[in-house]
Amino acid sequence: MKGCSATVLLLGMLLLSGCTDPFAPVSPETPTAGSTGQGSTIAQRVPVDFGTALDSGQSARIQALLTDSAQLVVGATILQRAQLVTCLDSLLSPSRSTPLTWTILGGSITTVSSNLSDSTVESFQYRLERGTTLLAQATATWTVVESGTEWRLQSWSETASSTGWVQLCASPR
Amino acid sequence: MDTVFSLSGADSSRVSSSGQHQTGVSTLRFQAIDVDSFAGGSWKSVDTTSFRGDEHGIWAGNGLASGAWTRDSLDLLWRWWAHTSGLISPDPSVADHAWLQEALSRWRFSLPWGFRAGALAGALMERQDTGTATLGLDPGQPPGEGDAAALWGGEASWTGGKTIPTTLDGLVLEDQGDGQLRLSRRSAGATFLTSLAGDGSDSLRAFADWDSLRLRSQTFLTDRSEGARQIGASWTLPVRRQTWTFDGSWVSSDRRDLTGRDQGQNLTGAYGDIDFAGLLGAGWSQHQRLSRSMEDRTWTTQSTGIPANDSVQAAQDLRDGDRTGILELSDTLRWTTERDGGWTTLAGLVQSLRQVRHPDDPDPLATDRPDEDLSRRTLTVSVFSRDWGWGEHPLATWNTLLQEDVFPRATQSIQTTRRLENRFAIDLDPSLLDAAGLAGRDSSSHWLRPLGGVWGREQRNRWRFDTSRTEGLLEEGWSAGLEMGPKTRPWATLRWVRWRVWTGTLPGQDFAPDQIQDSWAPELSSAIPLVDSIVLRPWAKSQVEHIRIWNDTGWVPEVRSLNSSVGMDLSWAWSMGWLRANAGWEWNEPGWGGWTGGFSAQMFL
Repeated sequence: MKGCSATVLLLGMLLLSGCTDPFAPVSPETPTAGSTGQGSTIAQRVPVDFGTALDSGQSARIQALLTDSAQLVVGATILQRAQLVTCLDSLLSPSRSTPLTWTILGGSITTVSSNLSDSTVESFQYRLERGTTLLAQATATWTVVESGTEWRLQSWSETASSTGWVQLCASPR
Repeated sequence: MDTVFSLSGADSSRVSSSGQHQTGVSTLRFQAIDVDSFAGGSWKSVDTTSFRGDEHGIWAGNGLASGAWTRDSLDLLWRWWAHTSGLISPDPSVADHAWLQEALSRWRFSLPWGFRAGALAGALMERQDTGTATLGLDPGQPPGEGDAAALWGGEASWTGGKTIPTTLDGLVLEDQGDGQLRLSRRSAGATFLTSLAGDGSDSLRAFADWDSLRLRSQTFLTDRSEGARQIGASWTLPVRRQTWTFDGSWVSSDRRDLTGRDQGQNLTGAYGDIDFAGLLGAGWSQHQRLSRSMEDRTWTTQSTGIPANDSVQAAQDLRDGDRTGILELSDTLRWTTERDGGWTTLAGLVQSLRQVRHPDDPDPLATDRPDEDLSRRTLTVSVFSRDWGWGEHPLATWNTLLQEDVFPRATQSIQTTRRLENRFAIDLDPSLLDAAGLAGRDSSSHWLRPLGGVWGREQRNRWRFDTSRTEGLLEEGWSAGLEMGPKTRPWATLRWVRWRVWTGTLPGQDFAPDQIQDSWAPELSSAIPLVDSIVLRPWAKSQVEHIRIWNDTGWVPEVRSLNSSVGMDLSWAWSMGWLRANAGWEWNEPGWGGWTGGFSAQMFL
């Protein structure tokens, strides 16, 4: 009987540590573009980092600041992430020699409210210029979300106006 | 098991009290328990009151008074809950008070074939004196001022079975009123005991339970329903010097917050364990345990009546639903000898995998609850010594942990990490003078013992898809001290602990620290016996922490903090009870300072 118990014990251990490892995790999928790169370290930095990346023409940095499901909402018009990125790439085209200038008017970003610990709603007025040409000026409300230790733009909403971002994307100047 | 009429803790008559003051917050608690005979029956009562005062001097309190009287086939129960808040507030309008009383009677009688039954009747009543800050039970609605409901119900039980001892019981308690104050409960259970071998060498216990509760009360600020169903079995089978134990159970539960403040949850779980342990001979023993569990959770938020909000929340509830499986195997081998005062060596390997999946969230956002595989393997080797070690603590121990935290989905896999950690610790408590024969043979001899210990830990964290992100940690520490007096009740103890923690990054196989935390913690305590079992214990302790940061050219002092306290404890024990009190002064730099104090006492009547 003693030998029987020892055999059962040995067989059980061999079964559990043999060819297959039942305690091994699955292999993860390759991260999406929106979840890699550099987001912002704090929520209030997202509009500032977005502007810095626009001013210096860093398309990859801007994309890193957008979540995979980021969208721009202006009234009934919704631009999905891909459309927003296309619009940004057009604005940052190498053929355009004059750089962009992004300004947060008043320099203040107001945190509106959020009922989730991993998201923040921010409101601010911005102006985008190329040289002396005004491209866009509006009040934006951004929902930024935390992923890991970084913050990214999830939703960008504006009231419809003739100088808002949607009009800019409709005919990039 | 009589869960309706039993009073928890009512086993002997006694009074007790305790209080504490720290960081400006004070708590007070009183309890009186009476077990006696009254009017030809037995009487039990439990009264508990607690108060809490915050740093602004505003007090709140809770109380529960309960009494139960039993005589022959009649049981009477009375319970009174009360709470008050906003006491001694500068704004008296915020104060509120509420109470709820429950009175219940039961008449028990016997039925044919060994059945016993009972009829229940009673009442429920609550009153609320609201303040300006009192919340309504239903969001957006004003708080109610009070209500009442009648209670009625019945119960039945049966115990019997010669070859398979069996217990069956059931209870129904219903409320009758306008639905503003509700307490209803239904439960049923069955337990079977038997031996499969037939000779009593093994034991099999099987059970099934069903329980539901509906409670709505302004006093408790709750409106909820809960239910649970459970079946299971446990079989213990000794085979020579080994014992097999098989456990299995299935649980289904649900809970709803009808105020909509919290998400409701449905849970279905299946659990199984196989345990195999026993002696192997020549001082060797083994213990193996394999556990498996599988749980499914779904969430439901109460409708708000606003279709747009409800549809968003319903979609979120669906995505939050998860299936969680845990597999764990623990293997332990132990060797014990009585030679040289008694030594034990233990080697253990614990392997586990926790898998979380969200089947209804095929395309998760980065902010959704993540799918996750947490795999852990821990190897532990410990040596215990009766003479040289600290009680149940190992004299020496080595521990290695390999942990992989995998987030499988592409939107969240950037968080995937791998951790390797090694740690060791040695804790010495040698009775050197005693071991050298310098102490007297008298058990009250005065021993002088040096205390000492060292420990170390290294940890490496790497992010699989973010190779630029690494974290390393290195910790080393030691403690030294001196203890005087009998080992079980030392007169004086002096201890000095020092440890340092380096944290930084891991370039390649190297470690580049960018912060050093340096800490010292001296501590002195003594015990001075006074008269009549009164012992005075003065003590002082301090912790100094010094943090330095690497600024690319050198180490820069950044933060220094100090936490110190000094005080005195007093304890007095006598045949009918005990009293303990403490008072001290604490100061933190930077930070808060002030006095701390407390007491606890109990006296049997």
